[in-house]
Amino acid sequence: MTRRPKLTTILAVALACGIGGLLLWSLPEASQGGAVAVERVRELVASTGASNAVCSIVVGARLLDTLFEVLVFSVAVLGVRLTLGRGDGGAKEGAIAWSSASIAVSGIAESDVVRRSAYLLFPLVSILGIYLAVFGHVSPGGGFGGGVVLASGFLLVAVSLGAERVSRRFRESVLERIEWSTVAAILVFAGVSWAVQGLPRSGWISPGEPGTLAGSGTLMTYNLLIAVKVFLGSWVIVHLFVEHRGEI
Amino acid sequence: MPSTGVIVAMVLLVIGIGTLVIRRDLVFKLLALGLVNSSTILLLLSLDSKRSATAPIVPPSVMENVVDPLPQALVLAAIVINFAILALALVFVMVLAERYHTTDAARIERSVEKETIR
Amino acid sequence: MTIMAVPLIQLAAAAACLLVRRRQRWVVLTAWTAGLAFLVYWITVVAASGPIRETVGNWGGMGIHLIIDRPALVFLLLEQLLAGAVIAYTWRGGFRSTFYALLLVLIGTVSAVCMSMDLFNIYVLLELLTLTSFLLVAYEKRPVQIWASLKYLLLASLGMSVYLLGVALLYARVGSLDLAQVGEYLAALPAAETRWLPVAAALMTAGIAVKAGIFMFSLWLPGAHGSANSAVSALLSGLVIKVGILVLYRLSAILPIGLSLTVLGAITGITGVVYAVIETDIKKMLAFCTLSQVGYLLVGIGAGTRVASAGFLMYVLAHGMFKGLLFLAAGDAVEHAGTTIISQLRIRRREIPAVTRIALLIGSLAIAGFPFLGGFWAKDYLLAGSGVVEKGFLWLFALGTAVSFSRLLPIAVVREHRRGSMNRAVAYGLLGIGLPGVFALTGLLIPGHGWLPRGIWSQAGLSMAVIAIGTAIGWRAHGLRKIHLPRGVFRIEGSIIAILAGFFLVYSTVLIGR
Repeated sequence: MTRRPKLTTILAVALACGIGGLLLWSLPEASQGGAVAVERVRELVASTGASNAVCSIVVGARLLDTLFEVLVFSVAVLGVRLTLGRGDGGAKEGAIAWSSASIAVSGIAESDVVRRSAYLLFPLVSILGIYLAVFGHVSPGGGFGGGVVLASGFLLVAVSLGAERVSRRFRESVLERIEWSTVAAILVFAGVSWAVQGLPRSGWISPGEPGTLAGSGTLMTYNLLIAVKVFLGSWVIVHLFVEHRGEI
Repeated sequence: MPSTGVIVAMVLLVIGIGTLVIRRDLVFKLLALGLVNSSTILLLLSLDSKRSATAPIVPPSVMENVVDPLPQALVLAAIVINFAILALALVFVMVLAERYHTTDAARIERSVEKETIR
Repeated sequence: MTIMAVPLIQLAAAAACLLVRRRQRWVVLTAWTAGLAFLVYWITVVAASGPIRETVGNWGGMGIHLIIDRPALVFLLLEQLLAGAVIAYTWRGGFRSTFYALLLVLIGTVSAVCMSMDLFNIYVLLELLTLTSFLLVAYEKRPVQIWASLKYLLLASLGMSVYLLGVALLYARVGSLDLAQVGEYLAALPAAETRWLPVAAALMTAGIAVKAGIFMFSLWLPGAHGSANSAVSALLSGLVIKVGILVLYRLSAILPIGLSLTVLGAITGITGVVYAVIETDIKKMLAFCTLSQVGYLLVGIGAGTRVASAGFLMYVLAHGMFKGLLFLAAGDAVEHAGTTIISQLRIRRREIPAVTRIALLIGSLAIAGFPFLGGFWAKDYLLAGSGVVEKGFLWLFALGTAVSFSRLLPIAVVREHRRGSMNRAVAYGLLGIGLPGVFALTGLLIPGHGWLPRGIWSQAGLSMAVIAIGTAIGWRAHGLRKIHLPRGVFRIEGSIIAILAGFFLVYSTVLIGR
């Protein structure tokens, strides 16, 4: 067995410290911001009708970035399904075979406390997730956070009551179709709203009073769609891991 | 004097890059990559921090002295992307570990090279 | 008409691929045709009235700016040709919906990067490209592919984090993410306040370099491109690498990285060629060749003159085409002959269909710079636009390329032949026919250069001489094959240290070049 000489260690540490030091040395003292930022943020919030400025940026001004982010997430789910799932027929000779779980999927909650807590908490977590998605443009939240919280609620049930019980209610192929339909819906919606409004400035459905629920124009729709997409994708990833390993 | 967040971010960066090279276990390399990504995110967030500034989540009429919201939106995107990368990398490490019965990067590399020599 | 329509259509088609039960290949074909239609329309618009600019979501000045200018059009043209060839090549391959979906996502993202003028948008798009190509490389799930793509993912992710650090530094100072606005700000900045600029520029360049196929940074390339399915390798080498180089091209307009790119180009060109000469596996050799050709492109950007930029764009188009042609033909040959070692391929060349062998021949000649095929025109412009030192390097690369490809030439010569399949012939045709016409194609897009530069015949003679010398060396000097070069640097720890060291190289050259 070859011994890695200490040269790599020394080199790595030296180079890493060099980079960190250079960055520290060159960071500017004063930062942009202050008065300029407030003006731009005011204009942004007034145009989109959402009082959460970060949400107006994520799903409004920089919607293009968010579209591709959603795609990154979907491709990740696709990749996990490709590697751990039933396979796409893409495996040629010499491929690493997918091995199914040798241990039967079982619920690990033997105790009553865990089971009842799960029953109690699951509706609360789901409501929290839906609240984050729906009110994302008014208070901190948004589509991504809401979707993840929803998925964690289902994960809670899967951990305490057994994943099989949850997966019996969802068929894999149906989930996949819903997920990609959501992605297609987001793409089409974005394309249509850009084409209709002729790009910059005003929202498609005219923005109303900032701070109200219905005042955000298109932002709420995007938040909901993204929440659905992230929820389904996270659940699929978790479910595939569970199936592959046998239990959580 | 840069703010605390920036200093912590740089320390994390150095630790992350160092660990990425030094530790041979693939899982540790993934953790180190996560650390590097976290340090980048921390840097983005702490660039515009001023003590008296507030979050930009108020109606425009009462808004003054808010932090710049754009880096926070960038951070959201970066978090999602990092999550996707770590998930996929973990899946591949799992598959490789099951095949070669080790998570040591050097051993896996050598086994793969041996397999491809005709 | 919004210019984001093309990426949106291609990405929506990717979703559609996974929703329909059959006929996915027709979905892909439709998306490709739509892209072609838009491309023709945009060429006419840009030729008539200059670049098209649009901004998406420009509330509070935080929108994303898009542009379609001549470099973007060249890349879109390359994308259409390569994608069409790959679609034809895999028509009968029995690939399922996931493959086509990933393919369409790749194509859509490449279209989007060509148009993007926003620093963070480029980050998101390049990460999506990383993920998609990572999955495509590992599609067949062979262990060597899985390991190569895992290495690629780790290194690319590290690289993009480094890029993001640079962007954070830049944004903290400039306050905008748009390339044009950053350029204006930097141009107006007094020189005394710019001690942070080399650090930011070096971080961003080093980050993109990991994806762009530059030697010190992209040590994952031979493993990943050498072990993937040939259609995937063709796309990756021909298109995805180029996208990284396009980003470097756009960055070089606003950051002082000209000297760095030239130095990196020289290093990449030489080491790529040296490794290619001693490599025995055909696909790995083509991958090393990609590394070396990237050297040409970087020298073209670094030279900075208008003529060199025209040469750069021509070479992008030409290289994409002949590298794609070579990978597809090599894949076909490997399928028929059952081996990837070059000497074995030569022995078993009767098994390989005639179409494939002709494609290999044309590809090899084009990459070596045979007169009047695509590479020749481009090299001519690159040479005309660069100084003496760069000219020396370019001729050196040409010699090395000729040596490494001389071993492929005998494969083409055999009396009997087998019939190849129709769809592959279409694929080769798409790429091969474009080769003589590269000059005309880029001529549509780059006005103002003369039809025939001065001294074209002496140039042709010189190229033929270089090819002849290179072939002679390749055939005679068998001792070359016995040289052992350090392979350890391609392992994972070595690759990471190379990236870190490369950052300091870029930083120092940026400091020197100011």
